[in-house]
Amino acid sequence: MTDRSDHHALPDNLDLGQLQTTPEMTERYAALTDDYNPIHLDADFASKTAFGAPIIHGTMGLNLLVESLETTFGDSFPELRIDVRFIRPVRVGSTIRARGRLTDANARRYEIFVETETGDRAVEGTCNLGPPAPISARDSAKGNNPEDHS
Amino acid sequence: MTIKAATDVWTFADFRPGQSFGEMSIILDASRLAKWEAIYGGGSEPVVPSRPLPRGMLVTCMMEAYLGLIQPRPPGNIHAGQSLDFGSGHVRLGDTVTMTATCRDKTERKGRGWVTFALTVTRGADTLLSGDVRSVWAR
Repeated sequence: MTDRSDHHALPDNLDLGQLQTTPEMTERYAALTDDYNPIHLDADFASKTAFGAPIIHGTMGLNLLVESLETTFGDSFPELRIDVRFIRPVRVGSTIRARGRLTDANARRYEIFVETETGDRAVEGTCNLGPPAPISARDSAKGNNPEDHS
Repeated sequence: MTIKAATDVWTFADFRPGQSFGEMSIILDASRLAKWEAIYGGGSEPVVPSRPLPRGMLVTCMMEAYLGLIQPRPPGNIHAGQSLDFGSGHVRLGDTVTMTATCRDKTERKGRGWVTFALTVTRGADTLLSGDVRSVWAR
């Protein structure tokens, strides 16, 4: 795999992540996080709130960004810092897309965001990549040496 | 750790910077991976113990700890923002990760109570993920 975390080869854009959200998907995410807030799962409850309908968990979109980063950088996934704001709720049933654009190659910084099919941003922030992982760490990360962690 | 009756709802006034909410551990088993893959895909690859698991699974563990360790909570909290610092370590099927939660900061702005919680996800001495959850705590 091409080393895409090296500063000479940072891609201008992260690989696109996309999810068509569904009630079943939201239930699975609730089980993963033990977050059974009815605003995500109960249509009757949600209809009586300001949202009017169930909304997805905010970190479901955030994790789509993490997936995009993993797809983009693969085995050379570096240490990194993500900082985001959840700026708009997303109704269950919406399609969400995770995107990222390189804004400062020297600082290894991306603008990252999650948007709906209408282009409205639901999550936005930055991702700062750490230094490229050393070669030995990448070999280990490929699973060639499963004994190297406790 | 703060001594507090288990039935008392956490209020904004209860939080103090530096206070600990304890820790919890989760085993990253096949059932958990199956739920993840049913959402984000990846199920076509064979599940082998040596395969690194998606890092996002650590985020789900972090959120489960955030919600589980600070209970009961009032309805209407707003998850306003979050940071995630990923280390270079990987987790694999069968690993146990341990999460901690502490109060980093609290402040009042425009009549709202903002609380920042610091979360960590570790495997042994290895910090895999740390980050803050920024919440507007319901009054």
